[in-house]
Amino acid sequence: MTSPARQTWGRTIWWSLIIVVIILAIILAWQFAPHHPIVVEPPAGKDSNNAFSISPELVQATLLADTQGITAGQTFRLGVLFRIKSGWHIYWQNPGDAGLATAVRFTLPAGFTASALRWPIPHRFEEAGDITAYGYTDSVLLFAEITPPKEALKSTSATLAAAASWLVCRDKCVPGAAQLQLTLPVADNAGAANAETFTEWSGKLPMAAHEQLADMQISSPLPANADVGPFTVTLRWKETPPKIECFPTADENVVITKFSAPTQNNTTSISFTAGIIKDRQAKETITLLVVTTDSAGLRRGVNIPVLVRDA
Amino acid sequence: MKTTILLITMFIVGPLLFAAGCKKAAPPPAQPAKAENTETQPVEVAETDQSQLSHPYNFTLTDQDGNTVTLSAYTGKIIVLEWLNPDCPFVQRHYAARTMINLADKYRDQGVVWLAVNSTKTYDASKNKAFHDEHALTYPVLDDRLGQVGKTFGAKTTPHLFILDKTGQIAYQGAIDDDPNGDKADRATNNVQKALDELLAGQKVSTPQTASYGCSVKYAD
Repeated sequence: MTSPARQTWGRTIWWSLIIVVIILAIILAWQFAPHHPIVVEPPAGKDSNNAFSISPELVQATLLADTQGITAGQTFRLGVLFRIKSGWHIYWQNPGDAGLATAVRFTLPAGFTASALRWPIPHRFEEAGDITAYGYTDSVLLFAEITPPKEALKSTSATLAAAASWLVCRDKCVPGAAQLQLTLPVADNAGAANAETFTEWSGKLPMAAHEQLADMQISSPLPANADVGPFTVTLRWKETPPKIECFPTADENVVITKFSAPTQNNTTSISFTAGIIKDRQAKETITLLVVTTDSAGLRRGVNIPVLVRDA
Repeated sequence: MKTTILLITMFIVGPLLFAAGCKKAAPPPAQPAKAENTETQPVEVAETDQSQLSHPYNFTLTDQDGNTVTLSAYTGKIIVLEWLNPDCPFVQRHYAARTMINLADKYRDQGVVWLAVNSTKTYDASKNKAFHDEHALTYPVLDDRLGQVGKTFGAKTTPHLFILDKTGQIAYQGAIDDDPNGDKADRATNNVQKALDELLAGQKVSTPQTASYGCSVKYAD
């Protein structure tokens, strides 16, 4: 027989234990909950089901000349202006770890010659998994210098064509292409065209030298019988720029690995391993594009050729 | 009565307190016991390329049907690991052309094991199964959406191919072929085919590494 006081005390213990059990159960359930990263579906865009489509709403390509007319023997600039949808990017001549270089091929009338394509200084994109890509956002003009033949042109106009292809990526990648054409009259004193655009993008090309670079040391090329080896490029700065980036370029015969370019005090020590694919050409050069950003945010670049192996 | 209730409660609370103390060591109860292997990390990897390592790899992943696939089960065989992402136009082009499918079929009779790995963060076993069945694949598509295996090997693109020789070391890593634009047709060199032929003939792989091409692997985090 229990007294009322003992009954109350017993009930208190009983309820306390219930509450403790419930609290423990909650804590344990929370501790044992699977801790997987939250999987987020990227927003399904118009292109998500049709990845092979030409992607005009992601990239708009236009063919532009810096002249209103063509004069015999007078060089002018011809380029494709890419306008890229916000948040998306296309790739530099070396796309980096992934992606595909943007391509522009000109078709010109007989006797016209074109220089190599000019590549403005790219940006670097870092993605999860230590993946680095090089390319452009917003817009970029890829252009070449075109020289008409010196002899007087027979026709009254010339048609210039360009085939552009690209890979535009954000969380997904969409390939795209455009066939472009421009017809210009043959004229003796043609005025300029698209001056602002060509000036802007000419200013973003790498330079031959960088006035802040005091000196540089480049390690020796591989011996003729070697396929792979380490390289170092040491840059000494007069005044070390606040930001220094390195963009390597190599043709399809060279594989660059272990690339690092730390800067300490006024010295940037670039190191990498270059491997040449067997049975390809003997002489191999790669180019390091060194890009500095000054305190005003102005970016300037200099191309440093590195002889990987001599002929 | 109260004693009984008290005893029952103690038998519940006691083990719970014990388990709470051990919670960090216990595997999540929702997954089968084998899931512990998913956490197994292969031999410590330096940040740089794996071709320098002399230790074999191992991992356990789930395929599109929910079966676990462990790499060490294929010890002594030549293994091809193919990173893919069904959303990537490069992968789509190769599956339309049956590049990997034809290679896997061709070398299966010679004992080569082909495993596709999907490290895309938005994919799971059921989405892998949809892709697997759509192409009637004769090799599994492994769920690596946490990205651990991809990062261990250094898979950066889709496609990205790794060939492990019979000792478990990487004999080839890089692009499937030398045709990133897909416009070389018959003139393209298939790097994987070339490396497999050399390995099966007992030769050293003449081109152990090429720069891979494709979309970037869409890793989680």
